Amino acid sequence: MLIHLSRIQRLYRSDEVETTALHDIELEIAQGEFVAIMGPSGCGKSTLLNILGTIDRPTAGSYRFGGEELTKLNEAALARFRRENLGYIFQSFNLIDELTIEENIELALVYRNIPKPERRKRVAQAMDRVGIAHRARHYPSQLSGGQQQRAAIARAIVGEPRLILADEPTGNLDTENGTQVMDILQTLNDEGSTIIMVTHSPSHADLARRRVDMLDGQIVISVRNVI
Amino acid sequence: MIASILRSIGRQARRHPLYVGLNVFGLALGIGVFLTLALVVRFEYSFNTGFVDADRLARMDEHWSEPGTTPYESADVSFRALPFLKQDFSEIEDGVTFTATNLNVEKNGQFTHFSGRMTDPGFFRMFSLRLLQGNSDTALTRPDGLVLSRQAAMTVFGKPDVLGKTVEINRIGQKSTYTVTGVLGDAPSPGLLDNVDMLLPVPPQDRLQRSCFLFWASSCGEILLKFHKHNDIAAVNARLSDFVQHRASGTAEDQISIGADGKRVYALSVVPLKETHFHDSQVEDTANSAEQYVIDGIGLIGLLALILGCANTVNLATARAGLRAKEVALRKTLGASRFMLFTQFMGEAMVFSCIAGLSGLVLCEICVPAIASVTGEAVRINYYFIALLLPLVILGSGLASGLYPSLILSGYNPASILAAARMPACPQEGGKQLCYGTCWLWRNFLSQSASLSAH
Ligand SMILES: Nc1ncnc2c1ncn2[C@@H]1O[C@H](COP(=O)(O)OP(=O)(O)OP(=O)(O)O)[C@@H](O)[C@H]1O
Ligand SMILES: [Mg+2]
Repeated sequence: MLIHLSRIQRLYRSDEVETTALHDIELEIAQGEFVAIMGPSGCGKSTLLNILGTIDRPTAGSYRFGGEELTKLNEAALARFRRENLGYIFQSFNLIDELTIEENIELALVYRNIPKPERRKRVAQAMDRVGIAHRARHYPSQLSGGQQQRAAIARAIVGEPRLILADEPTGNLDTENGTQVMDILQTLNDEGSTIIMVTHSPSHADLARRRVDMLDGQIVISVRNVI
Repeated sequence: MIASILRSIGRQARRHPLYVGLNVFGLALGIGVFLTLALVVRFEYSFNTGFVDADRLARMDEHWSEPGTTPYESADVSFRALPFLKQDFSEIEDGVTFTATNLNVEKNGQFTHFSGRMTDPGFFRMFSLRLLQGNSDTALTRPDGLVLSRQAAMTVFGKPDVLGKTVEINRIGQKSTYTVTGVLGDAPSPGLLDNVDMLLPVPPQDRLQRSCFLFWASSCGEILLKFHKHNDIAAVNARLSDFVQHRASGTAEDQISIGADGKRVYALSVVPLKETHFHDSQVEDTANSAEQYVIDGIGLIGLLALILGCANTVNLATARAGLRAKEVALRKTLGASRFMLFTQFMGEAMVFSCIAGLSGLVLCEICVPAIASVTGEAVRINYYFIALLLPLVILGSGLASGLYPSLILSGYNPASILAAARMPACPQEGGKQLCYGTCWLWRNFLSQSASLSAH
């Protein structure tokens, strides 16, 4: 198993209220899987994805990745884990406005001490894969939404991560661009990437190999799609 | 690392010129004012410190407190004390008289005014001063000897090479011919040789006739002393009242002494030469003194200006932290550790501080001559001092202005920031606001970038 979540709980506490965003989550994901997470707004999908991405910590429970217990690691170790293993795709692209497309993609490599020429080569390859090489020197604001999301995908895959996390990657895109993004994700999965994707679109969820439905912070069903 | 910091600053300067400009200008102003005032304070504290063995040099002062008059301290004293001082105190290595005198040199029917000092032949040895030309040991031994400053030599003769030439000097209405026996180079400044054009020996007849050489109650110039050790100054000071009793007191009829109860109206003290500049604000017959508390106040103002400059930078950077929150969150998800981000932001602060420091130096170079011309003080930029001080100031203000914003920025929690980035409200976690005081900017930024991408 690549990922093993056991009894994961996430509470948000404020002075007045206590919200249970996740409750007793049990989830196992194997290497090479493509998992779609679905559920109504506020059911905890993003919270789960953030915990999988180690930018949020569970209040209780265990998260093992490739056999390593992550909940015990300190911030610096988690940062290292992220830069070596993870790629992120967000609904709102989250490119840095001040950087060119090329530099945005390169950002996923700069914290890994990869020499500049090697970085250049990998960035060029990643841009080719998603078809935005001709926009390398542009700034994000000069690109369409679809192009920005493809740039964000390039950033997520340039480090050849073991796990790609996508939070509603097609949420801000029209049908055509959404389909393009899904095509890219499917190809990546065919080549062996493990992908976990949150989506509101049943048709996009059907493209994944497995579908997990959530409700009120709990997993209600997990079914394998027949493709 | 450095390259990426410089690139980041270049981008910030292009995209937010007002912010970067205000930031650098505020800090540069603080640093510039600080450097300028530090130079002023250093100048005021450096009087007479440039002489060799400066801490062994001192001046003898008189204190008068006659009944019915306000007590006062005077730097012009009776020279009658000098031979007795040398005789009674083995701690004294050497001593000379030092009397200001106005000199007029006649040349082609025109008079040029010079400021002179009459002193004893041992003067140059006591102050370890070397002459550009002439023998410092014998320059003032002949009664018509004359030592010129290089500048005076240029004024009188138009060249510095003037040994053996004669000068007609008009002093208190008497004309005499002097022979140049020495030319003095740059004496330690600021100090007692500032603006002194000529040094000449005490005329022999003065020693025999002038009252300040003969009577205790008369005075005409300063007595400068050199001690064997710095601590001797205090030791001698403690014994001066006995000295006055023994040497200066006498009977009421005695014209030479200060009378029977001399100790009650008359006292002597030795003031270290390094302290005279501040001490002289309470002393009669002295020029060019400063109140120490005023100078310290000026130094404090400089320090406050520097602190204000740093505070301004902290303010701007903290207020703007919200605008960089998304960048921080993103870099963290991409695997940057808090330490890496902290170093990046500290690096940026240091580069800002460097730019501000160099701009501050430019400001200082403009201010110092202006201050010198307004106050008449010979404050100059000492680049050796600046080379020591400026790196410290840059480092200090970089740390002071960068530490807090860098801690705030690098501490942002990516999950909350990214969640908030989709809502037009301030990121919150557990009801606690995340970007303190920056909500307005944050929202503004979001709506701006929304409208930007809409166009
Ligand atoms: N910072 C926070 N403080 C308090 N409660 C929070 C916080 N973040 C999320 N929550 C709560 O946790 C629950 C799950 O939120 P989450 O963002 O995971 O939902 P989601 O399934 O991703 O919804 P959506 O489909 O709208 O993105 C919600 O009830 C939300 O109100
Ligand atoms: Mg969500």
